[in-house]
Amino acid sequence: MTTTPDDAIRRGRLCAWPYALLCVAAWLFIWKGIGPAQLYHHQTPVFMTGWNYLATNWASGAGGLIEYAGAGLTQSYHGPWLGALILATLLGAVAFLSNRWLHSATGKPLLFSGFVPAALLLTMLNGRALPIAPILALVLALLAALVFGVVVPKFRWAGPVAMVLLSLLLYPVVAGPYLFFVALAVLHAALRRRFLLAGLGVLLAGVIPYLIGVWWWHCGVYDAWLRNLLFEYDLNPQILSIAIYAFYPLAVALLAVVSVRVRRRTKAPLPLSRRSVVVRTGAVAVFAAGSLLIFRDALATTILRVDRHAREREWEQVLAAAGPLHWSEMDSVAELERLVFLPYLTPRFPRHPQQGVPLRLSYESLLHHVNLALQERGRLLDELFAYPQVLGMSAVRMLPDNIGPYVAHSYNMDILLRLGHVNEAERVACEVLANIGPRPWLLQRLVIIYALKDEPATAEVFLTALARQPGHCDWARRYQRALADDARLSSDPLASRIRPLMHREDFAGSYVGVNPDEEMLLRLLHTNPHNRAAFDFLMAHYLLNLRHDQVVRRLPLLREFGYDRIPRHMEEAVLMHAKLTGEQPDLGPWQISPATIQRFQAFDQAIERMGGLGERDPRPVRDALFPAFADTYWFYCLFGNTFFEVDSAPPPEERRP
Amino acid sequence: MRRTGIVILLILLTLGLGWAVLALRAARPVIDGPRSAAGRAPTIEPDYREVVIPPNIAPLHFRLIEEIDAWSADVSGEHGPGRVLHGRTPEVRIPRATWRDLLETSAGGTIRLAFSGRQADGVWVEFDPITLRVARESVDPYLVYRIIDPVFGCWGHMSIRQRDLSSFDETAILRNRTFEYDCTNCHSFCQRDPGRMSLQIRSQAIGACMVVADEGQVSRVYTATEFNRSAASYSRWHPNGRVIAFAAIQVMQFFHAVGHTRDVFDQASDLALYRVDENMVTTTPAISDPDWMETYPEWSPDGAQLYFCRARQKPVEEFASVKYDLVRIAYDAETNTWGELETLLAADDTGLSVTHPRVSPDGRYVLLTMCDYGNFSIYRPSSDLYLLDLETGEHRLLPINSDRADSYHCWSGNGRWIVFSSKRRDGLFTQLYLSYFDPEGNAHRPFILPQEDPGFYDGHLKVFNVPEFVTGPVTVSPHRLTQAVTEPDFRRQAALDPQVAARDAGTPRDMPWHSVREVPGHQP
Repeated sequence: MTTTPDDAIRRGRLCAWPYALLCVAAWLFIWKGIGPAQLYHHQTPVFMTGWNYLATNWASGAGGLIEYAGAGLTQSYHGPWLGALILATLLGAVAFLSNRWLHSATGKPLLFSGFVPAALLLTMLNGRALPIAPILALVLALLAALVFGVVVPKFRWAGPVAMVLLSLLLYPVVAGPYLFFVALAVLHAALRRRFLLAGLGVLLAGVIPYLIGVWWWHCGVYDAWLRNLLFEYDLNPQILSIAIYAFYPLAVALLAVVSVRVRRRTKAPLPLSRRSVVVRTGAVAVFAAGSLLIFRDALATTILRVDRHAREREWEQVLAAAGPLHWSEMDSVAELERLVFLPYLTPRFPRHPQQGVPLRLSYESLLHHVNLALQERGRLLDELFAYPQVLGMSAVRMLPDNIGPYVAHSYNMDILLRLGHVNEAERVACEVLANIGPRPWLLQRLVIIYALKDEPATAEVFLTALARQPGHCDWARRYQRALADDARLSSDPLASRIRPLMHREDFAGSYVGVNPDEEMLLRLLHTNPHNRAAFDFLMAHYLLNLRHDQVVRRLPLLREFGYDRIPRHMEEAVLMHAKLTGEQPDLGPWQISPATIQRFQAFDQAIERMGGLGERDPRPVRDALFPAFADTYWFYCLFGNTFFEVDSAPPPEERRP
Repeated sequence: MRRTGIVILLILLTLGLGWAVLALRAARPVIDGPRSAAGRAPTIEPDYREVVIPPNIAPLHFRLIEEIDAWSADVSGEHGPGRVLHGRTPEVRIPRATWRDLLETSAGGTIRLAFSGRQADGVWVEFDPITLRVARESVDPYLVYRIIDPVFGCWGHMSIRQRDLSSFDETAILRNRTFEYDCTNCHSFCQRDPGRMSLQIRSQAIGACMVVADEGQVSRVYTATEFNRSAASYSRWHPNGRVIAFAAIQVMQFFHAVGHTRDVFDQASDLALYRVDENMVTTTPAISDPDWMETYPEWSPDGAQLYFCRARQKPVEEFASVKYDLVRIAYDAETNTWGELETLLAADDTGLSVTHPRVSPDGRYVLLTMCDYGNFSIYRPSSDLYLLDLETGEHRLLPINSDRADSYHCWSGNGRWIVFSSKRRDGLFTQLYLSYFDPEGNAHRPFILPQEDPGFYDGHLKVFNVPEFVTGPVTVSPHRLTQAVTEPDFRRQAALDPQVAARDAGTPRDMPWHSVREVPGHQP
């Protein structure tokens, strides 16, 4: 017996080709558009091989197993096409199972409606924070709901048995998405007027997580009921995840309404032609494209790209990726306003290492990376203000490390290492370890830190942990060999660059654990008067805090740090200082370049022409000067407090050492 | 049709069995070909060579660190038949039944493991045997400890766990994930009784308190009073089980720019007693002198003496000169009366700072840690274990120390075993070591707490701390303990002894360490 597509459609059966098409389209989009490498960078779940680690994940509570599987599949992101293929297959499974469930629950075909949650998931993936585990858990929950839907009509007693059995099987594996399964099962039972069965489902939703999660596994309330749901990977106000979960009851309701209308009009089933299939497919495609467009976030993508290159210490690529945020790429200062309104994920401490640890993307983090990249390329004091800087921002620490999001420390760690403050880098690295577990990039840094501290045995512990993570074992083995050959890692470029900069004299960090930047940088320079990074960041610190007097004082030191001219921003600070104080600083052997002098005169005259600043709103003057002077210290100095359309407080008075 | 199926199934089963037998035979190396003598014992990791072990310890699994591709070992006890073990991987795991037989037949004698290893050229090398001495005296069956990250300022997961020392079974007593990742610390038992336990909780939600499990009764006691703003730390049960001594400390943490990074300083520290039946906090000036910092209380086995450490109060800038003496004071728990202070070890004499005094069950010795300064010995690489003989008044460095921090320790109930924490492997992660303490007062070569996986410690990124022996599994369930921490019904506010003057009213002080959950912007 042959079945035509039309027959299949009429009977509610589903053709394979739309799903194949969806999978291929999603695969290409994820591979070429989203980029599995970006996804991996945003999440970096810990995945270690061996039974011990599997047992640890199982013991981590309900949902640990699916996270372990998810973390394992995430390793496929190292081979981008494969990672994209796995994600596309999962999205195809979501679409297929959703359709099947809707048909099974309502008895009516709602062609390709299952593509809606798949499209929404794809949109969430485009935010790059969504790990595989919640998608995998969603697929399992849908599958369980489908099994339940198949079993219920068979026998009267099968419903409760299936409900209990599936609960016992599903909950320990997926945790939170079990509630989604229960919701679908309850809906299914209610549609069939099996209200007792629906009541049983509601009861189990409370009892099973309590008994297995809280009582047996000792999970907290959040983990017991909500772990692995989509909400925590969705941007506030979590529209996408709410839409995905709400889709199913809404689709059922919609079907009911349509069904009543159709029944009033005709008793015959609604004919479904090939044309209507094409129209519906097109509608879903338009929905997917619209959803992707609405939730597209180019700024977050830029920041993520910068972040990835910074973590890999690819400094030129950092600056290239940060190009869109260069002053020269902006049409007006008002554009900066959007930078402070980055949508954030709900910040939540990742309770288990196998969970993804989405980065908290912020403009400050981007600036931090850009400034570090500029310093690494020897351009910090020439191009610092080529990017819109935040007035009074710390030059060294993106965020004070006892406040702020859990990954703030990781940003501070690299710069502290670069400066040679290895003990501080160790401290923040260990804070990150306690916060988010042994992420591979963190273990790599800890290896360098402990080699620098002449603690090769400690470095070896971290290397062993790293060697258990597929995708990173080559690095670990290479460093194990290097460490065995030379415990000081003298041939390692990073270690050999940092070692001469390290502190030689102990001091106890102000007894509060966190040194203000200035004191720390001065101490580093005291230890090593040729620490160029410490000098550059000290100057940047003074510039960012409008302390041009301190910049002028350090002019005689420039040659000691390898400068053969005054960097541009220091020239600008000297001119500004002279203008404001009327003093002509002693430049010694240095000269201010004619170009900078001419530019300053032009800047000064332009302000004079506009009647000066006085007490009036500086923004019209700022906007007029923006095209020619946005990348200067003067512009930052006079208008920095208006950049982000928020009333920036003046730079804090720092403690003098 | 059905008969054909059965035949096929039988053939498949036979083939499978044959394959399994052949695989097993292939895995068992046969000693043949040329042989040579190594003239030394094999290198093993963890290094259990020549250690003294209790007759009720779990199997000592280890790895052979030798250039060999197969090994064979003759394993024999003091009495009873020997056994032969084989392997093609470096891991040596002695089957539990074999191990149990060996221990049972070797108490008071030795276990001998004679290894032969096959080198790449096919030559079998015979190593000198490894010997393990088996003591007659058992160790307490359970060990309770805390597992945490190497905390600098903020912690994530932590749990208090109990390990059955005769096996590898480990279970959680309390996990902080059940109460929003707050801090749990300083667990303490009355005379190693698993039914009488106290531990401290530091929480943003419920404050700082002490959970007391007392023979089935569990409560959450707030010990901060008008006398002591700080909550309890380093608590110790009086042997009568009705009094808990604790330190009320104001602790701060700071960091060094060179060398070992972490350091801790107590800005204030006093001792007080919590009298369980009266739900009352009391103290006396001799143990809570504002000019002195008193800490680390410890009761003598008869409960007649309270040992503790104390140092003169100094500003934090002088942290490196803060050195603690070991003192004791007589106490009558029935009448709540105190005797006179007596200094047992003066820092002026030793040049070192005393911490963690633990009196042996027979009352003769005090096992203590000494370091160059301060009281947080686990952060001081100079920390070593010393033994003070209370009969002679002499103290000596124990030969079980390393060049890294050797610190927190505990006696077994029979006084023949010591467990202590040490950073000797790598300087950052603390592991637990057991050492036999013989009747002559000698501590023997320590060995690391055995684990099922011989490579367990190699990449283990957690810290074991506060090891405490107990006589059996803790009787109060994790669920009950969690309830005590989280539910209002379990709350008790201790009263201050009317005889004690209020001194320190105000908001309870916080700790320098914090949970990642406490970071602003984090929503649980």
